[in-house]
Amino acid sequence: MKKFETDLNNLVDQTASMGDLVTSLLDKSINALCEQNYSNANEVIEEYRKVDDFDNSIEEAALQILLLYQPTAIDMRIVATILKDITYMERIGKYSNNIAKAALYLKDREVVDHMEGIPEMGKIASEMVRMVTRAIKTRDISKFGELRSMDDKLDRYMLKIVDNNVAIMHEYPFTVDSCTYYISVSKYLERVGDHACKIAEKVTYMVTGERVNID
Amino acid sequence: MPEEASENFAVAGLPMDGEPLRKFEDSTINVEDLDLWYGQKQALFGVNLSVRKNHISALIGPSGCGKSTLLRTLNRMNDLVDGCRTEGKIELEGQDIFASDLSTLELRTRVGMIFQKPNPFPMTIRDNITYGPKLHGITDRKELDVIVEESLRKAAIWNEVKDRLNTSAMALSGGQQQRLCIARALSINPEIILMDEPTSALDPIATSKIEDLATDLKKDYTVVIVTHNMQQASRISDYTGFMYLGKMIEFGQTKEVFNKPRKELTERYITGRFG
Repeated sequence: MKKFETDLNNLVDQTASMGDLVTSLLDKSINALCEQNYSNANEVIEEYRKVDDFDNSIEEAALQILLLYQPTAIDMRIVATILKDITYMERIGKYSNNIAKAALYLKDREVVDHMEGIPEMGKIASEMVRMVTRAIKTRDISKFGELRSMDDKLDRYMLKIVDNNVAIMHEYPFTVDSCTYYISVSKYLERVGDHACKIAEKVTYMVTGERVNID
Repeated sequence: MPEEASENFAVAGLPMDGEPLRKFEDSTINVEDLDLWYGQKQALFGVNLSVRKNHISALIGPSGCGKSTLLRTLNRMNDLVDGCRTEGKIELEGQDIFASDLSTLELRTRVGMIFQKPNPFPMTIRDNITYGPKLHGITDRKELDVIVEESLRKAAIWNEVKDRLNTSAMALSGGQQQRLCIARALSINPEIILMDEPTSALDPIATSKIEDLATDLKKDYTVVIVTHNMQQASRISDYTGFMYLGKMIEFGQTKEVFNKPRKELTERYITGRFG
């Protein structure tokens, strides 16, 4: 039983660390794009490998726990939640990686200042990821009620960014490269919000045993 | 002694209130407010249980919690224990099982039992099966042959023994002996089959066969099983009751009891955080 507790706690700690990692990658990728901080972009691309490593090692440890201990009730819900959440986290890491690559791609290209909305989206998305990944460890879901309105904000920002960038492309065709990337980034961030909501749904299930729909 | 020494641990501060009786519309047995004493020692306290027809109900709980006692009360096997007395009500299809108009022979015909250790009679396979029907007055050889084949088929052992019906049942493997005992119970066509840790003496393959068999049997019978193996309870049962210190702490759908138990005590037990 003591070994089981240790294994389960390690699993939760590893997942929380994976959450911290993808949150930091997301922050760095937004900074790389918005502040042209290319060293951050390179760091994200480099560190993204660790996300994959986490994904594999946590999955393996979770399956090992299922195999060895056949957990029930809250223990089973923790393992089931983690098995789903690492996939959402891996996607968030992937989107951060894509944003970092976009920052590098746009480095030598001619752009106009039409990034409005992206820093704001980055901030909201990052806060959502931070909130939900922290809850895997703390089991505190009291702030999950805010997620829906945060997610709605991301959706509205994305639509606005698409409209703005399409208009700019019509007027200044040389911005097609950068505008297309900004539109993509806004979509990535909108998806990050969706994944954060999915994580929150699973964590709610983990804590309460109830299935909820957040996004 | 019918109940092994109590190994219950105190779980301080957790509520110990028992489940109220929630009768299923298609229930077959209803236990209401059952108290039971072995001499001075009370073993069951106000137990309520509704057993749903054609479903498998599992009873789980630590050693000495009363689950086997409850099971044995359902066909009055505890009557054989000196100093055992009960208060409360047990109804089988609405009929009081303690009433004088229901003999224990009839009750045990309708409610069969499978024990932890396979206990074939020291006679041939065929005679094991025909023993009960003969007691009930069936003597026609052809009729008995039909009963033998049907019972062994239902217990998923016919193909393994059909060519050696006249050999000793004692030569069968443990798993085969247990299925033979199930076939023997089926030979007198019971409504309910009680199983008291039927696989605890068997290897995993034999266990898996008994589990498959229990699942098949619920089409025609109602099964109540006592098990120490919680994974077994979660695999095969539709309903699970968690007992502790002689009380029915929680009873509900198996998937809910194992996924999200209502009581803290149940959660502690099934997650191994007990005592």
